[in-house]
Amino acid sequence: MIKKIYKYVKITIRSAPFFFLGNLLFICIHRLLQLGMDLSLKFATDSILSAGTLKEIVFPFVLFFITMMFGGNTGNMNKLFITMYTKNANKIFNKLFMLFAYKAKQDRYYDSKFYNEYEFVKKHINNTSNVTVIIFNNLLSAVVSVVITVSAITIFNPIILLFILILSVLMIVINYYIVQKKMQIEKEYIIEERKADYYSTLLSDKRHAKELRIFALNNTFLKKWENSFIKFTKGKYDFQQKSTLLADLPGLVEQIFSSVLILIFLYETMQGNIEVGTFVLLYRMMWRLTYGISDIIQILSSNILQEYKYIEKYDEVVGDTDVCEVQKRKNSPQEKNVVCPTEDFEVLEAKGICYSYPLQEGRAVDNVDFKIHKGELVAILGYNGSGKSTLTKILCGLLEDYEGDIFLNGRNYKTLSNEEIYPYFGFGFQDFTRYSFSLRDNIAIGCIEKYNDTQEIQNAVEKGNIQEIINKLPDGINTILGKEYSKEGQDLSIGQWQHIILARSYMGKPPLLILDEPTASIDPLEEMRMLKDFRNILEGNTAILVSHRIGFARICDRICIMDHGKIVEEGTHDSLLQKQGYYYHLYCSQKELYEEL
Amino acid sequence: MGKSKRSIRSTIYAMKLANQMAWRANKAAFVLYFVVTVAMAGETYISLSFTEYIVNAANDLASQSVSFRQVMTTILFYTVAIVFFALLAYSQNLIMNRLLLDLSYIFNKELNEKLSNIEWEYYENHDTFLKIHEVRGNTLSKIESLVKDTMQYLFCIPTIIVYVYYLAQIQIFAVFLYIILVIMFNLMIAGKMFAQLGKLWKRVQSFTQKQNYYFSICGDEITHQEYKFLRLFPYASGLWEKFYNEEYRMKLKIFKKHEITLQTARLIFNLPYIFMMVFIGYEIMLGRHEIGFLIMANNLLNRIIDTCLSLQQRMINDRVSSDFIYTWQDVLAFQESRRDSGNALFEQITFHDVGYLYPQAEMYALRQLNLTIKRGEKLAIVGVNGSGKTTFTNILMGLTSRYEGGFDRGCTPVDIRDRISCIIQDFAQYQMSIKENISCGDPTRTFTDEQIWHLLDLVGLKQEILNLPDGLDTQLGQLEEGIELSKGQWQRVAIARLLAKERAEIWVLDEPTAYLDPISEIEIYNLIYKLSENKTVLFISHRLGFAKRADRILVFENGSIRESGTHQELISQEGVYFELYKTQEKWYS
Repeated sequence: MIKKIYKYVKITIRSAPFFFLGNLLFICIHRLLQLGMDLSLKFATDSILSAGTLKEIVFPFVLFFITMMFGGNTGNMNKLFITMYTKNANKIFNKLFMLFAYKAKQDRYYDSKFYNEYEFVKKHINNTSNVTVIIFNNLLSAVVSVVITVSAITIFNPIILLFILILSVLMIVINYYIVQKKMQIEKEYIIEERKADYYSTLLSDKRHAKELRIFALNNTFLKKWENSFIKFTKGKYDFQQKSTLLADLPGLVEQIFSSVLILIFLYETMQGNIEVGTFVLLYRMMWRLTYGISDIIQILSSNILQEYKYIEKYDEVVGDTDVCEVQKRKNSPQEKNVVCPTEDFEVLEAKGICYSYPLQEGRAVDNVDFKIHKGELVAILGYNGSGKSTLTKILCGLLEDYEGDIFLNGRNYKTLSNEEIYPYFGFGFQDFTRYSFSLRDNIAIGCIEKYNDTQEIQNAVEKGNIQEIINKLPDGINTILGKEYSKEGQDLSIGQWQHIILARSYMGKPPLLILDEPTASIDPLEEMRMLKDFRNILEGNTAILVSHRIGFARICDRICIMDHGKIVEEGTHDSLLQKQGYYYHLYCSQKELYEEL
Repeated sequence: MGKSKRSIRSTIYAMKLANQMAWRANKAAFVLYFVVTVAMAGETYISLSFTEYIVNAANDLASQSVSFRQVMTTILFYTVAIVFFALLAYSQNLIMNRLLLDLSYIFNKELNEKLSNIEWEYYENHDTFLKIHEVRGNTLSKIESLVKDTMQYLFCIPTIIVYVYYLAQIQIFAVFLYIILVIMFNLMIAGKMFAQLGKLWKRVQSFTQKQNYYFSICGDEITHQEYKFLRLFPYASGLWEKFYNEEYRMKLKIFKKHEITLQTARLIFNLPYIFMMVFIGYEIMLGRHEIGFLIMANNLLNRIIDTCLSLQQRMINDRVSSDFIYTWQDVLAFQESRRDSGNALFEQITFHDVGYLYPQAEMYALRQLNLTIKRGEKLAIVGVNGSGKTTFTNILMGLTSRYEGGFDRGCTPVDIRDRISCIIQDFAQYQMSIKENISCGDPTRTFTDEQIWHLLDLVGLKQEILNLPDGLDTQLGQLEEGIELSKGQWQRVAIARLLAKERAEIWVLDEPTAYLDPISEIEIYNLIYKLSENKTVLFISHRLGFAKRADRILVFENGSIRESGTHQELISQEGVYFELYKTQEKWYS
């Protein structure tokens, strides 16, 4: 645990050492000024009791005023310093996370264990710098305060140290117990809480609203919500009540303890060992001491533990990514590290590909061989779940945990880096992302290396036939799409988005184009228009079309049929019809529908 | 001045609403909390009195004018009093916990009930949707803070009495001066300062949103694939960093403004403090007070400053919170859809010039629709994307009452709503068991296992579910750590859900086979034609092959019915339908 904390504290401090030191300096100044305030009050008391003239008492009060003004100031300066160095530290932690996500294998995202931790870390990245703040600001400040006050008090009577120790131990034990119990209870009830939240969503979100009303499911879901809600709040509540008592117990003991201390001080005053002014000083120090101790206890037994939880998870997920690499990578879209395809595409060959998704039984792709040459247009057909999408994602190098080998122009993928492979491909994903960028950016990211090339973007616009869509938008190609963070964003329909995705995949004229269900949400007329000029658009490049509709398989040179992860048939449209196998069966059943009665 | 008067009134009204809700949640706890809070003012008195006493005692003991035993006894009494108040504070926490628990229960329950009953349209409207989102996320915590703050304001009254009691022992003139300066600080400077800050914070918000968005590009399980594949790290992280820096630049600006005003105010505020202290010291020298009074006065003045600042802070917070309360009231005022049994006997339903405009849209989605649907008809609805098909079914299913035009009396969509069962394009995938998912089709019935198996058999899922270890009770989705079904399997479940509502006389199917392969598609359509017997069926699909069997085909275009008739009739018309059909047929020639 200490090692991990040390690692992250180091990064945080290194990110802005000047501000960090400033923070430390100000903490010491702050506490010394507090001491100064207490001392001036002592002087004031003594001079009032012994003085004659007004002039003699003004000086201590001026001192009091000065220390108070500056003492109050340091609080805010501290906040500034902390904000500055946590800002820098968080920048690093966030970028590190983004880099980690960039390099992480897509395969891992299908593993729910990894994914849950990933989401948790993503939500709490800014907590990673908190440990440093807690230790070096809060804890240090409390420790300095305690050291100063303990020294002041024990000069007068060392027995007090004993009292302090006993009280501290008592408070540590109680606090630790409370925190452990709390974390345990939270784990138990977190599931019920999630359920209650889920049922709340069912009752009040857009996606489920229609069916909720048509099937009149209000009462059913309300009841479910109520059950979960009561379960989880009752557990938390019971614990809260118990822990409130325990948390307040040290406070009670503290009160009694302070009264005893006061009696001791009064006794010393009576004996003439200390003056009244010193008594006042000791009295104030005593209060500072009790606050300081309870702060320390609180921090050590709960705050650090809670913040450590975040660091622990962060380290588990992101820990292996190198901090230095983050600094090295440049921030502009045309990164020098990545190169466009180094040579012409000739042939892609896959041998013996097998793939299973994490936590799923059976193979999604089962011993598949596939080969495609430059200029070919291949269709991969099959039912939903037959492995078509998975196969294409493997072929383009996105999924990496496969068995078997893939060769690009004779070079094995295992010898190439991802950033060498990806630029060869243009991919129209079935589950594409609608980015809330401008339309221009949504297209340009299809080939990020050519991000600034207006010519290429225009080319993609023509091929994807989206000029019509552009003309309808208020800002043309620079319109922001989607209302994620801007009310002025435009929402487009699924059909319009599918055109944009096509343009995105055409961007940069990729040597090998893969389109996965590019016309799923498009009506037949439009579909035909999209695919009519497909050969011309390709300009001699290669393409793989994936679908479960067999209509457009006809324009392809070769058709592969997949079923349960295997390629069961392969050939041209005519040869497959002759075979009278899968394809024939599919084709005929669809054709029947259009037969005149 | 007028504006602030209004906002004070509205804040008070918001506080009233919040407290009313807390009152309803748990009357006893509410009253008890109030009583205890007011009683806690006694703690202020005891604490100040104690400070005064012990410093005086130190002085008296040093001059031997009082016995140690006397001091000990008095301190004992004080300690008991302090412990009493500590226990009172503890009970205050207990009561507040209980109150908050009941408050969150009643708030969420009422909100859920409301949101599940409002017209569906509120979810389509971007503005109202945002309001709903806001209320869900923020209102409860604002209500809680308003209630707590109300209690604190009431607590101030007895506390101020204690303060006045002590202040009255000092020279009136000095006190008067002091109070003037305090009021000056609070009303004029702090108030303005906080308002300015509020505006700056809003600007920071937009940077925060952008920055969060660019960060989120690094992906969830779906968006990650493009983040990685399209090499988006430099692009996304570059933009993220830009907005992150902007955000901090704004925050620094705010801090600077804040600092300068605060320091000036601090100076003004602390000068009278010091003068008071010197004055009191002088009075002590003159013998009018004892030394304990000085130390107590120090505490007193500090407490007064703290009370003022916290009051100020609370008032600002409450002004902000009241906005959320008003949004909440807005949402509570949303129209609810009629919950009649909608059991009218259905013979036919006629649309008269029905039109519909989506909220915030410019073009009509439906225009002057005239149509009669007779009982038992099988209607196919076709048309390109955006032609109004889904809008038409939305109105038919009674999801909105904001349409133009009308229906025959006694047979409006709301009247027949209970008679309808449906499957929509984006059907729900409930994270519950298979049995529960299907039972959702008709919550008025309890289904036996046999009945569920029968439905699964009809849609072709029986064998697969039989193979699962938990059978019908298999949980689907992550919530109960269940299994994931494929999209095609889910679609069959949704169809089973449609069939589960046996008493439905009208079926609406919107692209019911989008995720199914061609052979399954044919199976399902055959099933529907077989089971529908004399039910009225409307289905929307792109696949025209199936429209052939319908009694009537409606071809939508730009919000109205362009063509209507049987397949043969429309083919001979050689219009829109003809073109659509021939295009699809061409693939198979």
